[in-house]
This record gives sequence, C-alpha cells and structure tokens, in this order.
Amino acid sequence: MLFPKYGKERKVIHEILWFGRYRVLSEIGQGAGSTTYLVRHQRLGEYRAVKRISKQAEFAWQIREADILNHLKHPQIPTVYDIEEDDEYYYIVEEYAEGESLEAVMLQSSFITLDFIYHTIAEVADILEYLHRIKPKPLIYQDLKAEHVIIGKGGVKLIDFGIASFLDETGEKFQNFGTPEFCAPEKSRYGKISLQTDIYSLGKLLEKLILSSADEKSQGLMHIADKATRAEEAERYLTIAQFKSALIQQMQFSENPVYQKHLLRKIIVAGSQPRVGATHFAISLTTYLNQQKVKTVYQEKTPYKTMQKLIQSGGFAEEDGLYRRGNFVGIPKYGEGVSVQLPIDAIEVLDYGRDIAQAALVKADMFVLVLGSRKWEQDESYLAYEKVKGSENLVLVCNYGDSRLAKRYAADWKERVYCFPLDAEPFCLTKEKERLFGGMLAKRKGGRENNPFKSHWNRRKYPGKRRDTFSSRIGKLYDQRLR
Amino acid sequence: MTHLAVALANYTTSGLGEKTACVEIGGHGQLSQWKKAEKDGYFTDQGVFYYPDYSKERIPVLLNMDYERIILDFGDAYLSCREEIMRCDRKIFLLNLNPWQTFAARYLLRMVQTELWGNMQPVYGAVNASHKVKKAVEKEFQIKVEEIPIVQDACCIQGKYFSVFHLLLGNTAVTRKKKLRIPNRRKI
Repeated sequence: MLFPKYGKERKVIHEILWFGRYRVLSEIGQGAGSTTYLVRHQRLGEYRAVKRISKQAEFAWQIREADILNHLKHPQIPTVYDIEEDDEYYYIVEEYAEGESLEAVMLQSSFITLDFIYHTIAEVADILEYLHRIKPKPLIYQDLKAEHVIIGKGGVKLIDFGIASFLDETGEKFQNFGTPEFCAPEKSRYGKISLQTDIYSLGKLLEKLILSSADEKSQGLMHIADKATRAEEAERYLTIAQFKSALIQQMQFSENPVYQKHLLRKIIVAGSQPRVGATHFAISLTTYLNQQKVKTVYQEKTPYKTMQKLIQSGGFAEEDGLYRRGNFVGIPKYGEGVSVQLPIDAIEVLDYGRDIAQAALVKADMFVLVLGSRKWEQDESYLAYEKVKGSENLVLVCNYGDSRLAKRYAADWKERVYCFPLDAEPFCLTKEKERLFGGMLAKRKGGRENNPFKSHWNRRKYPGKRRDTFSSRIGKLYDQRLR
Repeated sequence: MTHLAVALANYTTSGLGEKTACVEIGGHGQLSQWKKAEKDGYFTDQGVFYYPDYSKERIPVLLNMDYERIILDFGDAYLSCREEIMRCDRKIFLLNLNPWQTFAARYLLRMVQTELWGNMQPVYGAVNASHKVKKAVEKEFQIKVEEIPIVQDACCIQGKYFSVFHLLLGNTAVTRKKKLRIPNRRKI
C-alpha cells in the first residue's frame, strides 16, 4: 500500500517468504507500531503492499484499517486483498499504489504548475467526497497530507486509512493522531471532528502546493485555501462539494483571461450607420466568448427582426427561448408577452444596430462603436463618435479591415481603433478574429496588462518581489506564511 | 381553451414577431369580460388583436386583413363550427382527461374520428392528465395526446414552454444539427 520513500534508500530484505506466497522485497514505510513492506506474490507475480501491525495492545487497533478499506470501493483507494496473522503481528495485504508521493513531487517546484494543482486537488476532493457520502455514516479520513497522496500513471491515489473513522465515533483514542501541520485545530484541542476536519486538511494541502509552485501564485486559489483553513469550523466550506465548486469556478477563471466577471457583464454594440456590420460584430464576439467557455448571450435590440429571419433560415436549436448555433447563443427581440431567463452569470451582448442614442442611455461595461471604413462612410463615423465621445468604456472598431481609415480615426481622436477583418461567416471564428477579440478584451482596464499591483507603492514596500504580484496583494499574510 | 388561445397568441406575437389575431367564436364571451372591444370590434393587449364574441360568418373579413396568424377559439362549439374547424390549417383539440370528464373527451374524440382529415390530422392535447388515463385514451382511439404544461401567465410566456408551442403550431421543429462524420480513409 505504501510507496517508496524519497530521499531514503529502501531497506532491501532478501529471502523472506511470508505465508508461503509473498516474497518480501523491501521496507517502504514505517509508522507507529506498524511497518509496510513491498512484496511480490510468488505465483501471480503481482506486487502488493503488506502492512505489518504489532499485536501489542497500544497498536492492535490499527487492524481496523482493513475493515474500513474492505467497505470502500473506489478506483483511487487501494483494495485490501487479505489479512493474515502470527503470534506477534497482523498482516494486511493491500494493493500496491505505484508512483511518487505528492511530498516527493513538491520538492521539484517546476512540476507544480497551476494546472497540476487544480487537477490534483480536484481528484483528492473527489475521493474525499466519496468518503463523506458513504451511507449510513460518512467516513472522515483525518490524515490527509502530501505524503499520503500518490501520483501515479492512473492519477491520484489516497493511501493509509489507519486513523480514518466513521463520523459518530468521535472521542475515541485514535482520532487524536495525525500530522500537526495538516491537522485541524479542533483535533489538537480534542474537540469533535466533523466533515470540516478533512476540508481543513485539504485546504492546507492546497496551500502547500501553491507555496511550492514555481508559477505566479494564484490569488483565487489562495483565497480558497484561506477559507478552507479557517480556525472556526463554521467559517470553512460546509461540504467538499462547495470546495470543489469554488475550485472549478477558479479554474474556469484562470483558464480564460477574458473571463473577468467584475469587468464584463454587459457589452453594447452599435454601428455608426446602417449596414456597417454591428450585428456581424456582435454575433462574432458572442461566438468567440462562448468558445472561450465564457457564457455569453446575444440580444437583439433593433426592430429589424434580423435574428428572427436568421432563425427562420434554419440551423438553430431552441432551448428555453434561447437559440443556439454552434458556439453562438442568442435571443431575438421578444415582445412583452414573452419572458426568457438568461443563464446565470451570462455576459449580455446587446446589439443596438445604428440606434446610438438609445444605446448611450444604457449603462454597460463596454461600449463598442463599429465604424465604417469606406470613404463615403467616414462622415457618419465622425458624427457617431461625437455622440459617444468621452464614454468611459468606449471601444472603437473599424469594420472590413481597411486600416488606412482606421489609422486616420486613431490619429484624429487619439484613441485606439481596432480593425475588424473582412469576414464571411459570423458564426465561425478565424484566427484573425480570435486575435482581435483576445487583444481587445485583455487590454481592458484591470486586465492582465494593466495590473494595479505593479504600482510604485507596492514596489517600494516589497522591493525584493517586484515581479511577484501575488506577494504584493497578499502582503503581510503571505510573509507570515512563508515564515 | 381560452387560456391556451391567449397564450398561443402572445407567443406568436411576442415570441415569433407575427401580427396575430385571437378570435373568440362560439359565444362563450370570456374575452369581452376581460376588456371591452372598440369600434372595430377588437381590443389590443401586448400587440395581440383580440376579437371577442366574433361571428363565424365574418371570418373571411379577418382572412382578408394583414394578419400573419389568426387563432380561432371555438370553445366547446365543435358541432356548430365543424366546417370552420375543418378549414383551419392547424386543428388543436384540448381534452379534459380528468376521470370524471373522460366521457366528454371520448364523446368529442368519437365525433372527430368520424371526419376525414386526410393529411391535416388534428393535434390532441391534455393538461394535467394522468399518465394511465392518457395511455388508455391513446390506445383506444389510436392517437397521440400531447402533454401541455400549465402556463401560469398566459400573457407572459416563459422560454421553457416554447418547444410545446412550436409543436402545437406545427412549426418546423428546430433541432441541433448533427455533425457529419467523415469516414476513415481506407488504406489501399
């Protein structure tokens, strides 16, 4: 069951045969009153881990691990095969979890990427969730630490259920064991253990991983770890499911640089004149954001029934009043007699067509003005710009990819003007469009390039960590943790 | 029945953007209790044109107007309005399948089944019907009875009911397109 210890040479034992079938290969772990060996089944040639537990009164209770493991059926928990005994010892024959312990992996900080942290913690959380959902009584693992998490070919495995206990067995002797570094405060003060005890250890594990990572520290992950490791049980996540959902949300956030909920909720798209391509741009933007796994819904605000005509042309799937086509999701202009609910946390892309005056009345996080790029369209563009000039979140886009006029607009207005490429199919994304939207959304206020934590104030206060934005934000708390 | 007609009218007007008339025929007079008709014999609500207590002889007048959809609510006057019903593009029969009302549904179905509908088969619907009774009726009359959900507010249709209205109105069902699978190339 246990794993090869890193940094220590295995004690190789030759010529010992247990019960006529297990050849002892080496000692792979040692605990209080128990030793674990790697053995090989003589007949089957399979590797097994054998935990040898002393029969002395103070250690004999550890045999209950076999009973617990016998109840558990999970691919990421070792299977117990057999129990043997002689005059001095009990022997639990278990599945050998091949791989490296997380503790060993953490020594090489370059391995600990954000992706690795997410997937490892999510898998451990899955195992704990399984344990907590066991009926009639949930099982509390109680001994979660990096040493007990094995990273192998088949993913993560959790080993050593020596002090795991069912929830209502509180107050028994074995529950006061554990590794102080990962132990919840209620355990050290002999309090009542609960589901939150494991959540605390999981939070500690997450914190360890973040601090040992060579990548830029994720503030969102640190926040999750912080909440999971609160001293008061009530202040932590109540269930592993809550912890997981926070983790998944953070994962989505970090995977998509454009997913900035606080910045983008409502995007208005309006054109300087009719037929300038505002609807085309709005559809393309919606398709792009949805492709980036950011829930976005296009809403038609023009009276021209463009969307209705599109729907009638076919190729759309209806779902609760929302129409889908590939990555595009949109709703036509509905009348008063219909109410359609948008998905929670969805970004709205409002297409106002040429109705700039109406669009200017609506408060939005981003106002995209699509300008014409032909010579006979420039007068209208100048007029349209005059109407929205000074808007806080104005983004100017020149249609059809003609950069000459766009450059002129930029020079005259002293503002950045993006060039939307000539495009045939708004529902499909091209590399040019992806590049445009990616740049346009990332360069917004508060985005990656405008990190407020790179300010001079922070640089002065933390001179040694200029590039480490994480330390700048967390400040003293981070320093305390490092100590 | 009037509730369904009003809901359908609101759906076609606000959801599909069609100019719709909701016409009450059969003299049950429920719409006139809601609002009083103006000079031209109709009143409007949320873009829908309602014609309360309309006589069936004047239906051609409506057909000659610029309505994109006309919803005729015949109430329970099947026998008296049989010819008009047969002229409609879409016939929806709402059945009451409560155990104490099944006899009325069976009576209506027996009458309907005596007609020759050809390719324009009527659509049967039931609200809140027990599965057992619905199955029994379906088996007895060899028909399919659609389950119609309870729409709380007929004047504000929620997105979740759109698929049912699509079905009732006989619009082409919009479905997700299947991706074409390209067969593996065989090595020669």
